Amino acid sequence: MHVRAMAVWTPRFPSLEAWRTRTASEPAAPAASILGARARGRASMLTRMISEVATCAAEASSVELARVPVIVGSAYGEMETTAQLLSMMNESDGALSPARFQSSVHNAAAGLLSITTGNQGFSSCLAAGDATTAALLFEAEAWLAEHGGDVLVIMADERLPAFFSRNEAFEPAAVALVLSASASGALATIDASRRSDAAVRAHSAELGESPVAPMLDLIDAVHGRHDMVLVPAYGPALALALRYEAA
Amino acid sequence: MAPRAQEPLSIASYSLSCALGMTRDAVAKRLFEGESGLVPPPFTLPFTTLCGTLPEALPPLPATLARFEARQARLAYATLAPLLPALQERVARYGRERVAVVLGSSNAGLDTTERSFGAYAKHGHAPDVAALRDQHAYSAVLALIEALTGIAGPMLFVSTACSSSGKAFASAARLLRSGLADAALVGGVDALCEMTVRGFRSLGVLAEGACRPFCRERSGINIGEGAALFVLERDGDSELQLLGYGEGADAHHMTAPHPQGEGAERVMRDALARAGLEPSQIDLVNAHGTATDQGDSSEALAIARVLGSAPVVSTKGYTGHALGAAGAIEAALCLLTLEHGVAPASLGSAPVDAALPIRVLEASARGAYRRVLSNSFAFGGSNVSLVLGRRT
Repeated sequence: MHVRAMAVWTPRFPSLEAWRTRTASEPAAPAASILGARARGRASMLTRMISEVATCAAEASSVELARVPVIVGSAYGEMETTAQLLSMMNESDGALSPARFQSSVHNAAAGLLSITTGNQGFSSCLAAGDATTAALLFEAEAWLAEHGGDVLVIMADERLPAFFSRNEAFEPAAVALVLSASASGALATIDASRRSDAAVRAHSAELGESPVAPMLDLIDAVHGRHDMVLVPAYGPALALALRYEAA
Repeated sequence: MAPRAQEPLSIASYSLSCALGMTRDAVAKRLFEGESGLVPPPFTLPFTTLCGTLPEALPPLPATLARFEARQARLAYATLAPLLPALQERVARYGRERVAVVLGSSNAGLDTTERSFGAYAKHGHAPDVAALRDQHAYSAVLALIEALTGIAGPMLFVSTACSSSGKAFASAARLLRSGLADAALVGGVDALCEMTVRGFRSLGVLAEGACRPFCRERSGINIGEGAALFVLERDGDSELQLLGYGEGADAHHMTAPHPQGEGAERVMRDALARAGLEPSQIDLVNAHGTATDQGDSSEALAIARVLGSAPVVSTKGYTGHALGAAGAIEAALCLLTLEHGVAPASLGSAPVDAALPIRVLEASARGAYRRVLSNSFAFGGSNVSLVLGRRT
């Protein structure tokens, strides 16, 4: 499969170009303008980041958000919302906010995007810890093998709430790729069927131990036009060779 | 554009644990005798409801895997045990990297997190990072399965709320057909959590008593739990098969279905097209049927348009709604119908709502069931429909 477009958002590198040139700015919030003011005000950081990179990748590739198949990955999902619900459960009567509850599911952002854009087609939401990037590439390759066309792949994780982050902290980050069955106009080619035992390159250090780091490595590899090997750091021992052939 | 018909995939083996029992035989006995598994919740709540809790204690994890301790992990471990020989055979035949794991879950290890958060709220002691990775995260069960089976192919959780494990079948089918894997462990796992019971209460859709799918007097859902796991392969010759699937979105509302069930209709039609079947060839419909007013009404309209008067059953009155595991558990219940030649009564449905244009099975029925269609619909408007079959 072929990479047609890419998008990056982190609080200090809020665009693909800022990431490529490592031009850090003061931490900002994702615009997520597609959601509209009301939905954006209620949306979590994770949902806003996902909406932002989805919009940027769609613009960069001319795919229509109302029609493109969407695969969203997140190692941990809507953690801030989950922590809010856990707090509510431990308050006086333990009653939950229905708005928070419906926004706590792993597919909250994908559902909101589908409703916002009117996309009635395929979407899926995946989780596989630090192997989530690999899972997304497998799912995308399998989807494209059957259907052809394009698929919008998004990987994002927000900052862990205090309860979860005692020994682990990472910056929020989101990456989107438009992957295509067609090589026409592609930035790079990914072969998700090859395995490799080669040593893994160190992750970019800007974000701490973010589960999104392997996806950012992929962005760097495309920009640098070099091959890479993706070896998830923990959990499922899955070595995935990714080849970048100058397109 | 409707998908093209595809070759069936082989279901070599399966196992399940749900409110009706911890084995296929135990579940089949109570299912076909019309016995509900709904009981009072195992935790204290400031309101009344019933839950589809497992009827027996789950065995502990082996000592070497104790770091994964969570009800979610125990459920996966107990349900995986009967499939280990079939999985080991596939690992030997195809190679470790040629076997995939594709599971669905909505809650992951939230039950354990709820308990530790309660302690944190009282005493300020947060769990360490190991708890996040090995107990809370979706991937904890993947790491557990890797340790138990040696599988090293693509491993992932699909998490789209209540359609999760239905969609796991679709995702695994694509991995097999594209040649990225030769066999897959597929299914769903969701342990009962207090948060989801309270959450559905906050939405005003939780039943106080036993749920009554498609009933004139329906008043909401019961939350359940359980797991169902399947060994799916491309080149097998098993009696039981995955014939088709359809996936799509309502694009309508986060928690309410499209009133006329248009999204539900699309995924059922896609599932039939992939299976290469006419609507008249479906012998039984396992409805999502959670017993909410809107949900049952929109699904009934969709079923009537696609499948006319095919008999319809909801099994939520036996098991409750097992959320991310519901699609897999109900796929297993459909396989029991195909194997035993009995469709269960749609428990709690009588008196059926006369406004619903479908034929609900009020009593169990014997028959030569060959093909069953099963629906799962979720928050965010995520829909999936499966067609399961038995060879002639």
